[in-house]
Amino acid sequence: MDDEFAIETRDLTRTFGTCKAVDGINLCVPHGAIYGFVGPNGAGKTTTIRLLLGLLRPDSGGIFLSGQPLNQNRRELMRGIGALVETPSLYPHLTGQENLDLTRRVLGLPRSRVTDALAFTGLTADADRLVRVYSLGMRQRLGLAQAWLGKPALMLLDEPANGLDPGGIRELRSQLRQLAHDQNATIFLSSHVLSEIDQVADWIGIINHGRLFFQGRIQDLQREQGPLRLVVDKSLDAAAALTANGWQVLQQSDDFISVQVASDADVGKVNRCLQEQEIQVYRLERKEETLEDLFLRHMTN
Amino acid sequence: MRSFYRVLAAEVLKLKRTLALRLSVFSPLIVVILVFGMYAVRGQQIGGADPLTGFAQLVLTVWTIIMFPLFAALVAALIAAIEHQNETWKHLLAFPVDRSNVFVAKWLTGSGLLLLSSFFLCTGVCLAAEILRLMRPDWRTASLPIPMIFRGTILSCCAVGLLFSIQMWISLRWRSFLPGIFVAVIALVLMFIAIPRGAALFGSLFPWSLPAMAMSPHNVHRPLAAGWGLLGGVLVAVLACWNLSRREFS
Ligand SMILES: Nc1ncnc2c1ncn2[C@@H]1O[C@H](COP(=O)(O)OP(=O)(O)OP(=O)(O)O)[C@@H](O)[C@H]1O
Ligand SMILES: [Mg+2]
Repeated sequence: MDDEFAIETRDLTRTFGTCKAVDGINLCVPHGAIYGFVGPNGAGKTTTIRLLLGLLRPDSGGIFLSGQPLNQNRRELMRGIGALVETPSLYPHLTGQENLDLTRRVLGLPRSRVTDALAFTGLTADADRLVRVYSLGMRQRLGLAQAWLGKPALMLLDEPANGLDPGGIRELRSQLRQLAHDQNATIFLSSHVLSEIDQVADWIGIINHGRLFFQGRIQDLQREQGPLRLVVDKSLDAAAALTANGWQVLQQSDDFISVQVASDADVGKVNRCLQEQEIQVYRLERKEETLEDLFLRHMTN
Repeated sequence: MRSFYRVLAAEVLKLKRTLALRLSVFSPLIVVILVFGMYAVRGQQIGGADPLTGFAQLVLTVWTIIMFPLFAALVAALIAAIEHQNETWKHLLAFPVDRSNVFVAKWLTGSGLLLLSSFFLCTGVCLAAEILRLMRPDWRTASLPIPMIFRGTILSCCAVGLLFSIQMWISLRWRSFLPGIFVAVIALVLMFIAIPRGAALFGSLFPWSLPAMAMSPHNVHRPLAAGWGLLGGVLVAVLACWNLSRREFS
């Protein structure tokens, strides 16, 4: 197995009864990447993360973390992983500080790590309050502090922005970038809120019904897919001319058409083709599809 | 080994402010106070020739027949509920330690609470006896059978092991606390039906009656009850930890 990947899975499959929660997934998460794992509710994100943590056993397929098989080295591999799965795992009858102290004790870390983690997540002032009285966002922060406590090389975060206010989300993003760039940590985060992933991740995997539809760099995904929108004087003629020349016209109305193109070079060719037919091109725009558009398209396909 | 101590240290911290911890102080004290009340009010009638021995004997009997088994079942349910209710298994079982360590640590903290409650029982009996002596001048010279109290408590502590392990296994295995409590109640009812009919051997083998049988100085099978409770408890604990560490908790 190649150890250039922090996470690699091979045909990872897990069923619950008749429900294929994860269906032959091949994840490749490079070291140091911020990898966004996107999919709608029930897509299989949490199940995948539970599998990666060894909390669920796969029906078939392999999991390799830094090239090492998880089923043989679970204990060693978990030392380098911090995780936040679904809701944070907290004990409400203990204070925030005591909750972190539990994890600290098990990992055998110095006490100063608790203070650092509290400061990192902005919870220092609430450290001595019982978690029972914490707000949703405060719990989420404490969950993140818990995941980060051991300064892991790999963080698995399941919907980390749940319950955070806009300021908190922005802060989270900058913290994630900081962890990835300064500490060279790999961050695997799942979400169904696309804007979160869009702004922070450099790699992305799209999952639905347990299957991975796309995996790669975010830019590749967008460049590959964006259609070309043209504002022209005679849209009917333009559409006919382009179709005759082998272009795929996606949409056509009175004053504009949109055409599927593969690259920037294609944009030039389309323009030339229309000029040869003496059609006036007023505007040429290659609208970058937002992740949302892509996502919805992948979901409906 | 060191990682086991770390997990144990975390488990001990988890008990802070819990009902389980409070109950291990209050449940023995409730028994002591109840019997103390009886002796304080009706000591003349029920005291007899050796009133403080009778007092200690009654406390130990009430404790081992009903309160201790029930308390052990409750401790098991409460310790398991700490993880079940807060959905913390996913965090606990993803730690870089052997999963069996986690379960063994839970068994040990639970056993610690059982020992703690027994300690409070002994202390409570001795204190209450002293107060009775002060309250009743005619009892001032009555002797308190301290060796009997300690022997009875220690043997019942050994004997409670088996039922505690069974209750722990059930409580950790199922999310709901109902199966554990259901088993405990059914078992105690069964015990009340079976044992007064002279089934001393059955009583000394049936897990939920072991504490009472190991405490009773009149029971000929006393060593059997204590030994079986302790060894059976360890055996079931080992099996349960082995089984639980192979389970998926979700
Ligand atoms: N323990 C379980 N038993 C049975 N089915 C399960 C279990 N866990 C998950 N599933 C099923 O597996 C599928 C994937 O669930 P999963 O929790 O992985 O989704 P998700 O992508 O995390 O969704 P969400 O965005 O809502 O958190 C769902 O259909 C779910 O019903
Ligand atoms: Mg989920």
